Amino acid sequence: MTSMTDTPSSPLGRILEALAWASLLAAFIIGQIAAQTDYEALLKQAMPDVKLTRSQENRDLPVVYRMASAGKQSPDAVIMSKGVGYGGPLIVGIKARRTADGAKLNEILVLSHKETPAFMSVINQKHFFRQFAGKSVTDNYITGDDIDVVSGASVTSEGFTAAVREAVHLGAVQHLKLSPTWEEPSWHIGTNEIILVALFALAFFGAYRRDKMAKYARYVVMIGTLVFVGFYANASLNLGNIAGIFMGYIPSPKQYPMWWIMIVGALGSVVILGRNIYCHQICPFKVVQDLLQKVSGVKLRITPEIQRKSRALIFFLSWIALMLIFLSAHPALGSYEPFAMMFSLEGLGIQWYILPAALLGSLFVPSFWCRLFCPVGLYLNEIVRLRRAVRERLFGGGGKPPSASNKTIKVEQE
Amino acid sequence: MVKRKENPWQFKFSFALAILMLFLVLGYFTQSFLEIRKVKPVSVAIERISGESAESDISPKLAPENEAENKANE
Repeated sequence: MTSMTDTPSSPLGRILEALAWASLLAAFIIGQIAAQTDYEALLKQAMPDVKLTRSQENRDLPVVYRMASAGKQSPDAVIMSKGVGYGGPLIVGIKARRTADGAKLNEILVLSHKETPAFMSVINQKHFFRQFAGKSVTDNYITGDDIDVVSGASVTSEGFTAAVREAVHLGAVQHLKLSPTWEEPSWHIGTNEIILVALFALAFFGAYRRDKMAKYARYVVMIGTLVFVGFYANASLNLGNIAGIFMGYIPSPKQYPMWWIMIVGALGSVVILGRNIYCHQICPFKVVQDLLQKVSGVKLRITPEIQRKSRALIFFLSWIALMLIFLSAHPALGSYEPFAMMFSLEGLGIQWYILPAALLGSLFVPSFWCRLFCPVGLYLNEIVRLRRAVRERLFGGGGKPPSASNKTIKVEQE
Repeated sequence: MVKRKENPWQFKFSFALAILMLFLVLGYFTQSFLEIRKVKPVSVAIERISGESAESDISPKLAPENEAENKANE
């Protein structure tokens, strides 16, 4: 994986690149086959002591299981359902109890998820699932209406809510024979989405103009992205997001338009405009690094040689990360970026050391993490280079692709 | 990483930090690899592939047996 646009210089390079791509493809196929979830086994693991009888009415998710204890049928049931979170699919089991006027929820069991540990930690700490207890099956289960999302884990909150809503409402119709009295979720175009679109618009404005207004726009974007994209939404792009797209872990635009705005804004700017707007202006971690660099006042310059080597290093690291992601079908497990942890201060194990090391490095080397380790930045820049190479081939330049190291640095420093 | 003559200690420190970071990221991968083995869907899938999985108590196979019970309760 020397580059997406460069021809490997040596036969060994070509072989290595081919092996890298082949191994990724193999890992992807194996991961997809192996990770087909056995829902019933999951439920059995979560509730080993309870006898459950599968309802014959619906074979596909959401599936209803009736609970029995001491040989007697219990009024309790468990409904299994699936939603999509920030990292991928999540599966929940909803324990519900039949009452005189329908049924009420007792407990939500998280049976499987692919979320970043930081997001799950926030969800659990804020007791997100407690608000479901005691709710009627005929309630709306709509975030912002009768369910509160957790700041910093809004996609995860939305994913769990959608899974619960789908399961509970289908169960109410099919098993309790209730008529739908609840509201259906509508498009979530609210303040958050408007703010994100405005940030991208201002970022485009700041990138294309060189006047005083553009300077102010850049400051607004800097503060806005740090507060909103970072601390409020914790919605930085990471390698897991990119890999998740290939694995089909895509939330619906109706469910989470912010995800779509972020992806379309980041990829659209590189593909359509040939500018990496996301890394240079929207990424909140870049803002943190820039602020630290301003504080220290030290600005060590990275030589082209180091830049070239770091680029190869990021390709290597991202290859390992993608192998882990594809084999496990779990995007969060390979995402080594400290973004989510930075803005939630929730992390696991070695992540606690990666974050301070990245911040410490940015005191001396501007955008230390971005230049030496960030896979998202590298891939977005690679798309910019690919686009440039295609344009040169199509519209001029004698069909010669741009040189590897120099062009990358130019893109990085734009 | 930078011009050594200008900032020798800063250069050394940054270089050491970059190396440390590399090891930390590799450590993270190791940790992730160990975590993958604990992920339930994966372990379930591995069991299924290796043919060691026992039939589930809640598998459809048992459903007919409980159907009569369900009907009685209804």
